[in-house]
Amino acid sequence: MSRRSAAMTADIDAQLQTHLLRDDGDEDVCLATYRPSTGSDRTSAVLRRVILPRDGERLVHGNASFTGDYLLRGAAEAAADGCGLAMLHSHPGGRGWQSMSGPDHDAEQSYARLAHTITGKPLIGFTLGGRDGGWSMRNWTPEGRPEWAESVRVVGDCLRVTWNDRLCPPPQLQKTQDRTVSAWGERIQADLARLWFLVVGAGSVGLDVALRLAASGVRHVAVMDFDGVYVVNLDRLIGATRLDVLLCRSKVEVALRLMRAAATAASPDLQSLEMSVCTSEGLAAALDYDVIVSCVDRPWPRAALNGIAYADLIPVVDGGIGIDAFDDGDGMRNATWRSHVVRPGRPCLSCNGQLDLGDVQLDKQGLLDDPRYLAAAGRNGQARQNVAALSASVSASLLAQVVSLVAAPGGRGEPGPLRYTLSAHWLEHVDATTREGCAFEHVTAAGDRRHTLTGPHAAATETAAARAVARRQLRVRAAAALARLSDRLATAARAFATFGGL
Amino acid sequence: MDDAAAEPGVEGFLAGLRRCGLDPVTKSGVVTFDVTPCHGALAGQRVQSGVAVAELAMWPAAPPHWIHLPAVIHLSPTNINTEETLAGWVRHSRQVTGWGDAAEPAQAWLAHVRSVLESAVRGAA
Repeated sequence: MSRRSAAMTADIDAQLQTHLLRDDGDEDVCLATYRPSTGSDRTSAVLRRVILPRDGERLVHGNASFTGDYLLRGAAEAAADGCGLAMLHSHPGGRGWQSMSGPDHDAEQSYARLAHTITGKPLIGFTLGGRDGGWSMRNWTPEGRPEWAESVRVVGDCLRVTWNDRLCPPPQLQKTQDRTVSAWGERIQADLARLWFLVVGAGSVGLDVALRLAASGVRHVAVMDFDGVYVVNLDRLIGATRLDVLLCRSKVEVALRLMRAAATAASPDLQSLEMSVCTSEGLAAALDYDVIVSCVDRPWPRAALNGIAYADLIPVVDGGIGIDAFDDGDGMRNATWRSHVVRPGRPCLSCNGQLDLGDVQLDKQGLLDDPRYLAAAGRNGQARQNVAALSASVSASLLAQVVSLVAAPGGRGEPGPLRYTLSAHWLEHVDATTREGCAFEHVTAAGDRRHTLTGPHAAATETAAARAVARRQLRVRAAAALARLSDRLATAARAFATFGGL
Repeated sequence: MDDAAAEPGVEGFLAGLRRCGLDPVTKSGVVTFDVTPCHGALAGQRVQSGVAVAELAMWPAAPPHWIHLPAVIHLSPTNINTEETLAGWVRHSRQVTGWGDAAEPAQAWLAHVRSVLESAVRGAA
């Protein structure tokens, strides 16, 4: 585990700022509880509850300090809720990522072992910079050694991230990004470029989204999909070829190739994750990212993503298209596409009518693809209609949500659920609200105690196995060898042209 | 904010049924419990019902799909089979709707089973 981060909701951030930024300009302190959110390569501390000091539990004297009684109460309350303990203090005149002063270091270090002993989890320390509301965070080993996080994320209408510039320096702007940067400035570009984006589903929409993120200068973009490229995909997977079908390539292989060609970051970190987010492995990989774009239409993966949007405070930008063709196959009645950011404070996919949780088991058991089952149940299978000319509208809608979330044009963040109706040419806000007992909103910041929505994914396993078998065919291996040779010749030609000053 | 995982999976399902005053039993991979429909031909009669343990891995976030009933309980025909069932039982495909906002998910599941049983009759196995 090499990366560390922290996340909190905008509500928790507001509560902390109200307490820590005093009218008299003095520093202040308080405690909070957190849950770990453990990914494949990143652990995030997800702030869960603020524990404000009672009278006499902290001393404010220009600087501020915790009393032992306050620490003990906080640690006991954290332990009772299966949480770790966070110590927070403010630097009213600070801006951005704050380092620790000697007294800050000593105060946190002195309680590191005690907090770990009581809660079983590392003590973490936060500093709030009063001039811009920026946060910094470190994790304390039981031995009293600080390990700095790379970022602190505040999730609300906007995704506000404070970066540890030492671990994640702002990327150097490239000539190729000139038009992009001129649209929103260097500060937003530096934020956007450092975010870790995961695109789940590398179909027509997901592929387009991934390419455009890479082209915009985002350094870390990953695509996750277990499926392969088939002939029927070629009318929508722009950039995929008949050769990809012949060589039995996976969608993420194709996406990676195209992302590499589109990327403008100086040193792009582009990943292909050939797995399903419905498996524990896939979900853990997803927890390594700051923003997830959901481009899948199956109930099970959408349920899994819906869960981590709340439990792990990773905003999920989701959307899709429904095309209503006439039953006689002669014409289109309508098409609608929707987009929404799923996060605490916004309705979850179930509450906004985009996910029927009753379908999750059916999807898991493969029954939504079983014609005999579907016929007996009197229901249709997954919608097959899709058009490249319209899927671009879905990706545009998703990307607009991403830009609103990250760049907040006009100071306004993501707009809430949107729906476009093609036949009426009508874009509208969807009037969806969170149900009072929403099972997902209620587990906000649960971290690793999130809902269990993963399990063995038979279809993913079978698809990968079938692809491996197909790739062993002599015909496919021979074609793959020729394709590799062709790639090498193309690389050599480029090098020759560059050397020759072309 | 609550925990999702205080009682996840089959243990959470069993605990929820017990909170509803039932006495569930787990045998051969199926949780069985009695339900008393309020309406229909079986109103007021205790009917055994079951859920496969395998379908409870994602409880309570995602509900089971199949309702297991003794073969003598007849429902209007849809997908039925004897996969993962107890001897002499069949499982019926019945989608629960509007899932995800119940304070007590087990109570919501019982309501679903009762509503399904409203159209049931007792017949020959």
